[in-house]
Amino acid sequence: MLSVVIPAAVPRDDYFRVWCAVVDHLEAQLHFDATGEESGLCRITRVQPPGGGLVLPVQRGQAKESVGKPSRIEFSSCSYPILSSEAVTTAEQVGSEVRVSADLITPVARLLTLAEEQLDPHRDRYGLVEGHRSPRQQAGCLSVPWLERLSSFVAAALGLPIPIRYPRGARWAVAVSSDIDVLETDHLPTVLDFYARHAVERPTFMVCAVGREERCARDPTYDLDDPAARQRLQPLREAVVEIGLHGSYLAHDRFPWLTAQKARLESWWSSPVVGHRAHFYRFAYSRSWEWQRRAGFEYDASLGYPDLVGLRSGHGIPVAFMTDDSVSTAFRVLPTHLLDQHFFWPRRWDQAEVTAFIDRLVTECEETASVLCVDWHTYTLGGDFQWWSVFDQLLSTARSRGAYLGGMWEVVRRYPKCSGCASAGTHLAGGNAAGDVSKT
Amino acid sequence: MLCSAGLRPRLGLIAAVTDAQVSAATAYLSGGSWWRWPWRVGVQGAMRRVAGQFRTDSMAHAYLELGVPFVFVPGLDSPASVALLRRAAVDAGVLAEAPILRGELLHSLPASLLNFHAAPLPAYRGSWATYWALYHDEPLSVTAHLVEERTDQGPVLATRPLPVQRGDTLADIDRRGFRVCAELAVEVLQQSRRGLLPQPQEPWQGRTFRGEMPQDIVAECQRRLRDGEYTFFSD
Repeated sequence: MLSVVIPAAVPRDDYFRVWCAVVDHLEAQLHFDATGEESGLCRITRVQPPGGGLVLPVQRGQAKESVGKPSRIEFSSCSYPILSSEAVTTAEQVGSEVRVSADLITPVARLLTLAEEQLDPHRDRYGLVEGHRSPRQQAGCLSVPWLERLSSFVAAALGLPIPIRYPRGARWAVAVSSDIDVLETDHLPTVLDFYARHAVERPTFMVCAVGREERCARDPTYDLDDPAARQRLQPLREAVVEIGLHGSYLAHDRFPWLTAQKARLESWWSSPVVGHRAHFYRFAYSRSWEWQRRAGFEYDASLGYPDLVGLRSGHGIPVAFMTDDSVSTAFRVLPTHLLDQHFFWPRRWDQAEVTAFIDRLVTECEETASVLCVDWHTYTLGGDFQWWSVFDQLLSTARSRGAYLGGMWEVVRRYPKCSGCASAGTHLAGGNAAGDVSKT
Repeated sequence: MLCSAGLRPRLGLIAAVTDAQVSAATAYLSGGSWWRWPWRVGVQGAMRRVAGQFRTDSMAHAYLELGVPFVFVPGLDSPASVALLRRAAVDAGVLAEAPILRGELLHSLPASLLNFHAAPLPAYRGSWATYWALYHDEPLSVTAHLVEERTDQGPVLATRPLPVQRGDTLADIDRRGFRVCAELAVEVLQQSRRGLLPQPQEPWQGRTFRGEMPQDIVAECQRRLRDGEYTFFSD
């Protein structure tokens, strides 16, 4: 059970979003001090066990303008990479408090609220946000989970452990998913064998359920009502997998289509469908999430770059979606960090690049207890693609470095739901999703 | 434009945008007794004095050609406009290329005030919305909605597809957009007697685009049309 006590004076703004996300990640009981807010300072105190505090300045209401600077904080003989309002940031232990010289919250809030892409209107031909336009790409830190980096420092400053939430003591996870865009051959058994060899628990397959009136030229051509398609999908029904909705090209902004496709998929799957990812990763901030939440989904994994590996919102872990009124919901956003095409388009990476990159990525996730959500399209297995050798290397490396390998829901459901943040002054409580198995 | 029962345009209000037009409006209104003039005689008589200033592509010229009485007002939200609207015995008001309306004006018309927005609502509100929808690779449509304080957020009455054909330029799409808006306006006004079911919008359901679209993005829209990259060509 985790809780955050927030005095009535604290406005529900972007700052609050960051703090809820940190609290969820640390599963900690923390207290905000309202008096600090008025003087531009925020004081966060550990409640259980009592004691310990962190004081830092906060530039409230400036999330969109506060471009963070990659920095490092030296604290307690360790060096913590952090996104800060200043290029040089210090931390000093004063009694039971750690005092930080710069605002660490607002730059992360800017990422969580996708301020970068709200300010830059450029989109590719499919309406997608491209990673190469991000200032973080230019700074060489597009794959750094800055929210988790903040959590790591807060945990260190307050003497909190980062919880072990995955089976067999794993501290971090790879959320494994495969979009089914093409269903012209019987390749799914081979895919399932691949996942079985890597002992991936309930891998996620995103299935398209577009209806005739909803289909456009960009959508997958298979039809769930077609007996041939059902036959090709049958191996999934006989395996232990998660099925999610691969929402059609236009459904991200059309609530009736989204609900119809969810119902169509559930009818075939004969079970509830809780996960969503839009075909082409089409997404309209923030209404797409609100539509998905109202349609009954538990999480969305559409936040990803078409052109580069990277974290659009600066985190890999699932984070609770907050409405425009800063009401926290049980719906989670799980960004997709990496797609198969990133390694092969517009150019094919050589083996040395792949190995070095995987090593850096895995190290980052391991150090921050993050989540690496990957999407490897099923049709790229075998044939001329030979893309799965990279996936094989990635999963093998991740497992050797202590990762839990599971489907997206297997990862998301192990994060607490930040519920009940609706009214000022209330004690906020979160808990694990119903039906969660023990984490150990 | 204000419409009566039977859908005949009763009166057009044009916000004066040139000094000459403001002078004409001021002269026209200064007597204070013009309210009692029969609309057609008074308006047309007065406007003949400034007829030479009307471009052939202007609203005023169109009204003259169609025989629709019209009045220049200092601004659509001026006291003169508000007074006219309050006295007008009309069923509906139709906005055409009007600025954002605020305040008392919105509540002065006993009947409905309609806007015809050349972009899908609620997703694409505000300015340059047609092009923004195109840029985001969405099918285009025009939307009829009731006017309220928040820009393009009034309840939606009806929509109609706005086709984009291969070889279209942005200007072609604009022209077709005007035509489809007009067709939708006729359809909505004719249906108003039988009642339409307005669909309310919520603020979070769309994005309001403000200001000018950057020129490089306009150019990119043009290029995507030219190179056939847009997904939703109708042919």
